[in-house]
Amino acid sequence: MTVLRSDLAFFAGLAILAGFGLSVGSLFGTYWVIVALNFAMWIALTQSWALFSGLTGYISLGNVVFYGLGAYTVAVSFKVLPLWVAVPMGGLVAAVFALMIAVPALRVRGPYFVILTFGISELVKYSILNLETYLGKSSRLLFGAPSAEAVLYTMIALAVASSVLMRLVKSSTFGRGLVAIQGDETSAETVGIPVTRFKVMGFTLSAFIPGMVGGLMALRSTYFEVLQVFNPFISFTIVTMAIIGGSNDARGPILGAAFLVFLSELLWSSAPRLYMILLGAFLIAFVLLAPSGLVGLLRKYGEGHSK
Amino acid sequence: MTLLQIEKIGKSFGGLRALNDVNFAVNNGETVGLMGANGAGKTTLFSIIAGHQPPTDGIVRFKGDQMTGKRPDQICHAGIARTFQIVRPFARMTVRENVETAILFGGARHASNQPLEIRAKDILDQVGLVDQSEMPSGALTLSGRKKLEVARALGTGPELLLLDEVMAGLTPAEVAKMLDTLRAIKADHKLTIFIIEHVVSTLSDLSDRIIVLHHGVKIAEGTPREIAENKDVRTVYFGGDDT
Ligand SMILES: Nc1ncnc2c1ncn2[C@@H]1O[C@H](COP(=O)(O)OP(=O)(O)O)[C@@H](O)[C@H]1O
Ligand SMILES: [Mg+2]
Repeated sequence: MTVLRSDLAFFAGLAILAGFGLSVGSLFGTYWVIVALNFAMWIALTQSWALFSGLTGYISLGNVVFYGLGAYTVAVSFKVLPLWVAVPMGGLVAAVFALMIAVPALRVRGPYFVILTFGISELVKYSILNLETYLGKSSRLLFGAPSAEAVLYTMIALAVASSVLMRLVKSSTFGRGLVAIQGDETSAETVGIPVTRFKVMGFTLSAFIPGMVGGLMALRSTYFEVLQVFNPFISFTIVTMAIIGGSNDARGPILGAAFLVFLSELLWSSAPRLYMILLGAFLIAFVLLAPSGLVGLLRKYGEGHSK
Repeated sequence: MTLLQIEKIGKSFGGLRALNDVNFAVNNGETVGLMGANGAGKTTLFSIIAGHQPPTDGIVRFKGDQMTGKRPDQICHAGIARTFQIVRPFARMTVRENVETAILFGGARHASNQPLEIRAKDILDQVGLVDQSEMPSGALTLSGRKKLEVARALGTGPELLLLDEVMAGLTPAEVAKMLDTLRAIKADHKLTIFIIEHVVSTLSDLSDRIIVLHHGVKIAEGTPREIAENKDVRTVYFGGDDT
């Protein structure tokens, strides 16, 4: 029963948040549309990261590659494919790419996987940069892209979809298998978990929404530039949000994204150095003192409260 | 009826021959002990049976089917469960969740109307760990972790249970209790047990038959009494032939 009630609370909270995001433009004006878009984007990206890396413990430091591939797909097919095809196609390209690299990449664990995913994202970045240079396209302009509101609404849908997906996976048998892989991979296979298949499925699933997010963001910025959409800073930010919010629970990425978006709204334009310093300080504090993130603190507080 | 058949198994690690031409069978319903000094190749043999390592030579059969070449999860589903000498609980899970995971993935073929939690608690009760159900698995004592290894293996609903030194490091009282537990679960789950143990008396107590490995070679096989009287075993185990 408590499970059902907490599910209800989660979905209700999510619906309220989404509803608020949808009406932010008419309530507060255009500036807040941009903030809401930013927030929804980071939720979608961090939630997708948590789905694989948070549950399995395979820490990816290259998730920008999915975002970049989605953006590239949309940029290349702009005015060729309708957007309702191009954006999901971006997700599909990212997922197929994840599927292709999954088997070799997931053979390594720990720091090797971290470095490998980072390396792959850089490799793809420079490969596409070279390809674009060869094609004589230093950047692509996307004239006639949809309005900020339209992008925001779609982004909110992705943020909600990624949150619901994380919640469902976490409480499913599949999710239990992913957590067992984190707990001890050898034991996981010993009790009958098809470890390789689960890892490949989880990794592929976690790439789809970021690909669509990248496609949307290319439309949003109305031009496409390789170094921008494959910027490793995006990967770092995802991991930071996941660490601060907590990544083994669908509430974590939302909290982490909210925290960092708020902090950057507060400081980024006025005191960017202070923002970076605080970011580093918070990251260290959470890693050392609260490894389960804000959601872990929430749980602890909740438990103490109910006893 | 033969349940497990080990045929000409050999294993090399680089230049080291950890197992060489090992042959034997374990019959349905038996408890068979595997004995040998440290480094004799006992754990390696378990890893080969459970699919964690490929043998260099030979094949393993279970109920007549070839297991060699199958993945550990497939071998689990065929009905073989193992414990680890160096315990490997699922971190970040409670004791109960550890067992639930085993039931969920390994034991799903045993249809049951019971909720997962009840099934897990039943098993934890049998190994004497039910009071620690909600503890994080990492917080258990060594004896608790060894019990959890057994409970998790049981969760997969095996026919053949491979136990790798589940009594090593336990106090004599804990060993006595574990012996009772093993006898009880064997009867209750209709198990065949293949067990590695260091202490000869413990192993003799429990086993119908004992197999002795020495430097990767099977040097003896027989009832506990036959093994106790075996010349080769006495030579390697007790450092000399005391006739
Ligand atoms: N993965 C491995 N790589 C190299 N050598 C190994 C490996 N596993 C075991 N060995 C060696 O094989 C021999 C048998 O080991 P093991 O099966 O663990 O013995 P036991 O369980 O009988 O004590 C030992 O000499 C050990 O060092
Ligand atoms: Mg051993």
